[in-house]
Amino acid sequence: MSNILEVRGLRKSYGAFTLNDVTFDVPNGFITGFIGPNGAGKTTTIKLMLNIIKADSGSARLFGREGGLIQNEEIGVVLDTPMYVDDWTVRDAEKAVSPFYSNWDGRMFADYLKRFGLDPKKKVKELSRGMKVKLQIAAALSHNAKLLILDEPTSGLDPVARDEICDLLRGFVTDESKSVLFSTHITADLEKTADYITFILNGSIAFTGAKDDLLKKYARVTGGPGELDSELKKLVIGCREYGAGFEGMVEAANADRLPKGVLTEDISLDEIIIFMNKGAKINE
Amino acid sequence: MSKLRAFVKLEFITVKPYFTAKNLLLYGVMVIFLTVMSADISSGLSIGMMLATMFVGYPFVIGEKSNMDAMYTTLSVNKETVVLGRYIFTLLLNICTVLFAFAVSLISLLAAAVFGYGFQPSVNSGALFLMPALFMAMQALQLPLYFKLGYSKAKFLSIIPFAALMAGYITFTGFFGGISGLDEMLNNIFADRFSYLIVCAAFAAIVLVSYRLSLVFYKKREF
Repeated sequence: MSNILEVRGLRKSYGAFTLNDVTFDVPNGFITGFIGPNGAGKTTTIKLMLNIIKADSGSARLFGREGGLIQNEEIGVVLDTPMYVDDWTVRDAEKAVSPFYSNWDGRMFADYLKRFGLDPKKKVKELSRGMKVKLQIAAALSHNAKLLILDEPTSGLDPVARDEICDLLRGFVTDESKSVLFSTHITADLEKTADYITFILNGSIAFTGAKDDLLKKYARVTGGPGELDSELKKLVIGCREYGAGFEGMVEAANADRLPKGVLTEDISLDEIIIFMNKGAKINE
Repeated sequence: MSKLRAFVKLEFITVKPYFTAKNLLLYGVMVIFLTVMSADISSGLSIGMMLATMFVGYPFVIGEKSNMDAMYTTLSVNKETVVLGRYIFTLLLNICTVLFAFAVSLISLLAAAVFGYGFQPSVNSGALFLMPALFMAMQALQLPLYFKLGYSKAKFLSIIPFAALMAGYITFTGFFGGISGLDEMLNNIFADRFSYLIVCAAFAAIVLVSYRLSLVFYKKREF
């Protein structure tokens, strides 16, 4: 399996925050979810890859090409903050961005506007956040991009709009030469769409690989009061104790070391983020 | 279309919402009023150039508000193209303004003369040449500040060149016996054709230094 994007050793320091040796791949033909709690470094990593901010060190190779960080027409980008001028109409947005792409497809853009219910005469400031995201997505999909990089596109959207965007992304990667890097903290969207996950926590990559491997790697663990001894405490990540017992996460490989009364079950991406984040705070 | 051409087009699209018919009409009326009141084309030109200077800051204002510097990167526009494109946009905006203000001023003066307002329209070719050059030089001082600090932070500092220009104008006219004295002095200076060349060379040098500074500043900025 080849990679459309290879990120190697990205580093960036901002006062107290350090993005440390971020390394991951985005495989061809799949959706890679980029997850982590707020402030973990998702947007910084994306901005570094896009050269919006300068990396202290590291590189990003797109389509196997050597050299520098990404600046390429073949990627479509949707940022978390809308980029278009409020007083532009939807048509102005097309006029503004289309000259920068040699492969711009006006018909495709018009089709997306129709599909998303976007009126070309409407001003950007009159659009809801969801519609603004859709406008960015329409532009990102209308120049035959091979890689879509989306930074929190679904945050603040209602479930219907989120589902619509997820559907669109699934459709996009049916062409095996195309891929998506989808940053979000709403992991429910990724449960449905992502094939691969890169999990960033406190500026470092905590996991990168297939989503199923991540979900199999950990298990949710719960137990009653008194069952949490010091040995077990060492195994439980992000342990939360309350009157009726405890809950946390363990590595599935350690499941056979757990006492018999303790219950283990499948874990969700959301829970992995929560327990990992809590575990990291406990270890600080 | 080359990235540079596309970027200059993007600059015009960015400020287009502010070029409304209402605004243009208002600016036209201001130019006519000042020209007719002073019976001098260079007055109309100066108000036109003041408005152009205001517009020069618009891409920075709008860019800051709409996260456009990040957008340029997503459009694969490098920082050299952004800086050069903005200087070209500024130059084109000034050329359009000079032509617009000159035409409006000339027509309004001729109309005033035809309708018998009984004054002698004056055209001082030295002032006509110097006025846009001075304003463009002021803009050249402003642009590096905008590129370094962004519009919000540079707003106050960018007024300083204009305050200095106004102070210089008041001092100068006071020293040389009013506007007529300044007019006479300019006529004397620009009687020698070599003066035009010196002004052009000085202007080119200011713009070149300004461009280099803007490039250095903008390359260091992160968004």
